[in-house]
Amino acid sequence: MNDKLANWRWVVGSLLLTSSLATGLWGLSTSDVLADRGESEREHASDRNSGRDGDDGGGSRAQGAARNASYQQECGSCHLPYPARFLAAANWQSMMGGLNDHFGENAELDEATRSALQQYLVANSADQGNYQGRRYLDQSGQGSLRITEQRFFLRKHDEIPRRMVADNPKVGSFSQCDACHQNAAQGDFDEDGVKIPGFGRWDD
Amino acid sequence: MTVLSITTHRSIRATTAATLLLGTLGLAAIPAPAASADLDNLLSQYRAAADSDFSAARGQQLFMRNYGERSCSVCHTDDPRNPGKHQKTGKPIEPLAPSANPKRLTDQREMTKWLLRNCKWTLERECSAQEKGDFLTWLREQ
Repeated sequence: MNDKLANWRWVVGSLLLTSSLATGLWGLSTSDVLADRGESEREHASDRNSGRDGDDGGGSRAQGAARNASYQQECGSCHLPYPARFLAAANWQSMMGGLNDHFGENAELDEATRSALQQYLVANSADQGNYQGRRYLDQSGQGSLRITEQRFFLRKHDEIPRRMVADNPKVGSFSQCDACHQNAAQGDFDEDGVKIPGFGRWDD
Repeated sequence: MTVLSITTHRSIRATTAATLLLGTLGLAAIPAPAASADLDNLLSQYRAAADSDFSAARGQQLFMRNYGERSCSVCHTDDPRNPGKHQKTGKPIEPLAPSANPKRLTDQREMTKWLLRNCKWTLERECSAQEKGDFLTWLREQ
């Protein structure tokens, strides 16, 4: 009688152990990496969304796509073609209306191109574009036209010491997004893609 | 490198062939002036508005001169065959010389756009038709 019980105990015991092991393994294999849970997952989601607003030439509207190629070419000839979602429509309008003094440079365009680009920027701006969550609406930059002086930008970069940007000869200024954001050209500014020249990956 | 004797009949032919071949290759090494319909179009437009025939020497002077603290070489260096760099953003700039960058001087829109912007920034005024013509006449040979 004791023998029989002992045998059953072995069976039940092994069954329980194996099933719990199996459950554990199944759980691990189907979940995302734990570190990506929570707020950063929501960030990932909206970054992916806004990356598809057409700045990288993948716009869903055919008209939008044509203008995007022009934006990449014209507004990317001296610096990264900054995504339209980073500024409010009013800022874009001011900027496109004053290209003869574009932060100290002359960036004049023929009227047809200028007007088409302005339309594109305004339609995809922080407050008029179709972005879920509208994370970039925090635009109170006290009238500054610079993306780097908008509140959302300052908040995002407030932990970065001077020696990594302004005092870093390989970067020089926050306006050189693509110096650190390795995927900036694809519209992806996710923290995972940040590698600061001379300092390495940004790990919080 | 083979030493060619010129005493036998066969080797005279070989020498002649080699000389002709090397000579042609040598000529090919000299950059030919840039040619494109857009460039010709633009030059005739400018010529119609200019006072005199274009001079490459004047064009070179225009490019090399300092205008206060500004000059073309600030971004383009003083040799148009070199790659340049935007003096504020650091963005690399392809060489200006057609011999180093065959895309140059082929697109009328691009030429007029950059001449407008860069004259206005560097000289703080638009370049005249004469100046633009002189400059293009010089640059096409670089």
